[in-house]
Amino acid sequence: MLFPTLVFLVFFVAVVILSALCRNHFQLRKIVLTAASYIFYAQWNIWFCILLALSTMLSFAAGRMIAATEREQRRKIYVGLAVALHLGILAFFKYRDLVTETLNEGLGWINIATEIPFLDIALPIGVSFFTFHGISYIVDVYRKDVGVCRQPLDMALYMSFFPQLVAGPIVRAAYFLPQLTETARSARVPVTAALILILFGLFKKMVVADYLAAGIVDPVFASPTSFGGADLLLAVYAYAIQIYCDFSGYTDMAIGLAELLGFRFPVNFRQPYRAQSLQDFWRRWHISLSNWLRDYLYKPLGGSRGSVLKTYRNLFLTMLLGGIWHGAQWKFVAWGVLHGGGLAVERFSMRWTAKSRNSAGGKFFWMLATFHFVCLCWIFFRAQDFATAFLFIESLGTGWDQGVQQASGLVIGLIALGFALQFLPRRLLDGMIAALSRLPLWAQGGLAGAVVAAVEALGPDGISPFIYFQF
Amino acid sequence: MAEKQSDAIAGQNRERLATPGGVVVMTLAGAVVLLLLCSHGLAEWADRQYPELAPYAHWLDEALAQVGLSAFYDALRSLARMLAGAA
Repeated sequence: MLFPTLVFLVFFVAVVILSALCRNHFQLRKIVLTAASYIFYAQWNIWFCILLALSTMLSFAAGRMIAATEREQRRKIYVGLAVALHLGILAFFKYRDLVTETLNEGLGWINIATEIPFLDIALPIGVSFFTFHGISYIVDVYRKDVGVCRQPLDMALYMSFFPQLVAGPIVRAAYFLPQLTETARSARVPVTAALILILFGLFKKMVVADYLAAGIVDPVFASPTSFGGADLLLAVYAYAIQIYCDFSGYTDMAIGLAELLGFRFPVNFRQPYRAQSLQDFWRRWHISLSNWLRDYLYKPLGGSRGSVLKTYRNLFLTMLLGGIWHGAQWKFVAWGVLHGGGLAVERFSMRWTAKSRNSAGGKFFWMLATFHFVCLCWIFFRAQDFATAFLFIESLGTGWDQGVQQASGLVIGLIALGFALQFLPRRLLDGMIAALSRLPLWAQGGLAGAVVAAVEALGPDGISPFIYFQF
Repeated sequence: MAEKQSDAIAGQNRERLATPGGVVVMTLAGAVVLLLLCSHGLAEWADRQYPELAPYAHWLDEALAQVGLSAFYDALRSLARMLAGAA
């Protein structure tokens, strides 16, 4: 059940009505929202709900066990076991084919005729995200950053809440669980800001991302040698905008939907392509994941506390593992290596480049340099495989005399619009929210309905799945 | 200690708030306007997923087309196809 569909609209209207009916019975409201989240998830595959429930029970039980003892060694064993189990579930679904293939190759080398069969089990959608939620809760309980959750229902809602279930943002327990207490609950909703986020998200996904995918990204990346350098370069820019509009569009909708149901969500994107360094980029792109990697991977590895070389190693390893998380493919390894290596080189060279980053020209130069480095990494991320990514990069230098053949005026306009979004002043959005909020609620809703209809009419036929659903 | 996550909707945009009842009114109004303006989409969806509902969806679509409510959607769709086709 994708957000921009009629089925989801019917589902969401029903949830809003039920949630409002239970506004004075907070426990009942949490039951309704948890049940709705499981119904939402079951639309993909009902068996995935069992996995989600198991993951929830594991996190809940581990949290209780960690909090029940003050003995440090025992707490360490519990947290280690629980995190290993969570990662084991994730690894089973994401990497079992790679392990099976490697084992079969190994058996072949030592002349054993037996072949381990491949298991035909689909990757449960959103498994990474609820695993990350579970791990962050367990580790935070261990670190005493969050109080232990004593209500199974609260844990169930935290892990399954449908706006963030399948592609984030990754909401920390310390941020979400306090919203589930009677004293913290707010019956009032910032409805106009939520609406604007949903509408912007829909536009970014259904118009910008989907047209760019169909218009240039998919055909050019499918056969890079069939196109000249100009089309290839535009396809890379288009993909940079497509993945931004697709993912940030999803996040905007998720945040808006959660707010309409009375829950706050954290910020996940802050105009990432205006970043002037890679470090800055990762503070603006998929913020909830980069913070998760920082707090649960980079810092436990030692962060920047040790020697300079250890800091570079930790940066490199964090991004490498971040790359491998996307999938068991060399192209994602290359993406992680490039980002990790880039961050290390940037940190190393900062003493010489810091001065050049202060002037207006310098800022512009570093913004362009950062964007193009990120684009280079996106080539590996988007290409079918590692070899095709190299072929793509090689082909970028050829066929410039062919001019632009695939990229239409619409595509170039949408790329320009995607860049313009990076520089949209915050006050413009605030002004829109202030202006719209003067209208009565029924008029705001009616206007939003008309905008959704316009977006539906303007977008290409059909809805393509969100890019990050596959991770 | 993990850093605190910051709200996606900033404080100044939380000044004008609605009750859950208000959210219901707004959502219903939005859904009704959307269905009125997107009746073509509703009919296509019914054809694909719920054929038993398709006759009603088509009846609604035709009725709304007669009073001109589909014009907005059709005009925008034609414009988008023209822009995409001009490519």
